[in-house]
Amino acid sequence: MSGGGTASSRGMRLLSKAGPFLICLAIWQAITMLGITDPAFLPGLGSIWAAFRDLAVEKTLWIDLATSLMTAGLGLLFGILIGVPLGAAMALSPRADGFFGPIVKATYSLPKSALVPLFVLWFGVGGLTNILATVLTTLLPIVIYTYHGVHGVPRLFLWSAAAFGTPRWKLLTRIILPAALPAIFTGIRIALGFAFIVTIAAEMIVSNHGIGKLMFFFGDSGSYNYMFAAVITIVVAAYLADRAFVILTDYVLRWQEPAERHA
Amino acid sequence: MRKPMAAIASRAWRGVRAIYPLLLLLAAWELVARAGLVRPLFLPPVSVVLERLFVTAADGELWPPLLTSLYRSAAGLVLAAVVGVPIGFLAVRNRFVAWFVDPLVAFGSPAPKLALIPVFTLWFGIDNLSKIMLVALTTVFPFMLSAAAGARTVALNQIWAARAMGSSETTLLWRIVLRAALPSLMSGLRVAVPTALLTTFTAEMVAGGGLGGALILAQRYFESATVYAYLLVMLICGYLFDVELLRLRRRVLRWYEG
Amino acid sequence: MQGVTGSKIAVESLSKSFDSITAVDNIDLKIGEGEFVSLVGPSGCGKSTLLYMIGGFVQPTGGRLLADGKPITKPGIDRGIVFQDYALFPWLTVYDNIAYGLQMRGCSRAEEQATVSRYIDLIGLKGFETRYPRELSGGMKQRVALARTFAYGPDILLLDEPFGALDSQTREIMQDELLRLWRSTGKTILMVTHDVSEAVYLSTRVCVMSRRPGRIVREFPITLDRTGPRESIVLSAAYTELHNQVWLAVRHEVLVPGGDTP
Repeated sequence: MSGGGTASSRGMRLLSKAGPFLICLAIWQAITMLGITDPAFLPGLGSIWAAFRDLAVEKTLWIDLATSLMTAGLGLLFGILIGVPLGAAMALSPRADGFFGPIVKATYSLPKSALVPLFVLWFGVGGLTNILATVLTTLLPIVIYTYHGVHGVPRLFLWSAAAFGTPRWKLLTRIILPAALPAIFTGIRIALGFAFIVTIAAEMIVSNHGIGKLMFFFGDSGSYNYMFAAVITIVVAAYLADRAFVILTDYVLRWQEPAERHA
Repeated sequence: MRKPMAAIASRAWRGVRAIYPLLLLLAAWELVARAGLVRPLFLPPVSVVLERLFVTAADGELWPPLLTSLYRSAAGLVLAAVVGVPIGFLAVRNRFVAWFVDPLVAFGSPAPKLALIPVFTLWFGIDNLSKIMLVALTTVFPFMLSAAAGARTVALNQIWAARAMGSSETTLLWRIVLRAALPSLMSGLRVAVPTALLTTFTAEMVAGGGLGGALILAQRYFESATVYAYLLVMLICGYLFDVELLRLRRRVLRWYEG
Repeated sequence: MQGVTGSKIAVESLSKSFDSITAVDNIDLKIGEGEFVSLVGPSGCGKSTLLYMIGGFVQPTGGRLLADGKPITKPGIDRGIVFQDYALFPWLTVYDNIAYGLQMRGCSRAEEQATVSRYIDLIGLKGFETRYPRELSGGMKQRVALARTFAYGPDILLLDEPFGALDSQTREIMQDELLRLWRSTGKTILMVTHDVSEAVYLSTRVCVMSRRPGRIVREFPITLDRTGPRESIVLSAAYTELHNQVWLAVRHEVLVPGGDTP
């Protein structure tokens, strides 16, 4: 995905990538205009857009979107703050690996959104439930990828660093973490996707706040064009967050061979 | 006769050492709950949870929702595979398909498909079909991606050799490409199956039915032991499927190598 | 300060076994200060293992290792190492790579900048300070690798097939570069290579190792007039004679039947 070329060629490429979406939108519009389906089930693009404008002006959309983004963001943040040290510790200390390894493996098969009802039992329907469920969901990929990243640091790097007289703790910050960063970023990217999924799931299940609650509310009350507007908003937001993270990755890992990125 | 005993004992000991943190946690859980340090509503003792699990299994309360969930996941997976794998293959051979599918996959993969639960419930009702369609939509991406990745590994000379021997296009496709794509497809399956289960359970927690719906009901009636028991069932399901998939993968790949 | 035996590096009755495989068996080697010693031998003869033990990265199973009369137990700043692959840290720029050892030593910023720019000029990579290793060619990467190991000033340099991944023309240029650096700094160098001509061209002494379990079977002192350009050395009769002798010795070891074949 080269960033070069003239503005017009970049524009052409963007148009080419947008093509399939435009085709889908056209099909959608055609279906609604031809009256093939009940307008209740498939609101026309126009009415969805009107609903979106309405919500945007009323600010409800932005508040709820911000809440969802905050939940996902905080969940991801704590997942990183806990998960990276944990994964690194497991890779560097056999005792830590022996203790935490089985726990991590055991939780692997559990769909983390199933923890939401449990957390409701414990913490009620407040935002803590959502954030906690998100944290636990993001922990798993971050721990696993950090573990593999740290584990996979070529020993020749460690030997070189030792020959240069690197003290042990600097070995971690100057050598191991940078070398493991590509894997860690992959784990964070996956965790980001999970964070959105669990945040939305929790908001739909518990209906406390956020876009999930908004979607659910509109679905229940039959205002389907509003519901679609909310759904599209969060889907686009999640996509943009992913894109933003990829751009961040490309900058932070600019020293990497392009083929090795986004493993 | 003593040697095999010693071997079994040492293997058992190694097994215990491997899972000792879990045993520790379970023991701590039981003690804390029994000692009354936490309200039994929040943390019923492990023994009570396990007992509840066996009861629901024995008197048949567990099976209908569980089997519903499994059916929904399976149907969704089959649908996704039937649609996704051929498209994935086609995308490698046909430039138009690739042009059309690539941006959709690039957008759809990171997008939270779960957000579409209300939409699918609207379109397909609150019963099986909405969950099946959601699972299908969510898992079609890993199938497409792994099929395309696998198809790309087909060495060009394999296709030329087959063409030279007079294979028709369909035979060509199925025998060579499918076989070459098998390892990649197995990896895709390993991602798709837990995703299917997760999607099903979550959709059920929102829209009702199946094990997810049963879980929510238990929570609403404050039957904590049941909540924990069903969580355990979900965990066991996920684990068993993963183990089975690994076994399947090994068997398939052994045949593939030979 | 040199030890009792007067050697910079002293290897005595050194052995290394991995499980049931003996990689290196009873090696004795003395390397004096300022020498350039090459280890050659068949593949898998344990020459890299010997190098790693001297570097302190691998522990021997028998015998003694001394550097400057002191036992070698772990890696140290007195022994620098250059590998064939993973020679540079890919997340650091050229400047930061060369500066790394200096930073570990706690040099002042001014001293670090002066040393680094001196070496960058020396290896002819001025203007590349902010580039990352992935932007460099193989030859440039190894030049930076040599520079950073020379820059922080270890007395002993250990080179593990440093030019093995380069094409033959780049390799020749790098060999001359290394020769120049060695002659201007007077360091003690121990190099492992599978290229006999490279060993003879660069070293003051070539040690030939046997197939596994590796032993030093022959040593060839090399005296060549290295003041002239490459052609004058390589085309000289002395060089050809020495090269043929060493080559025959290595070939003999390669063709030894049986032994610990992999």
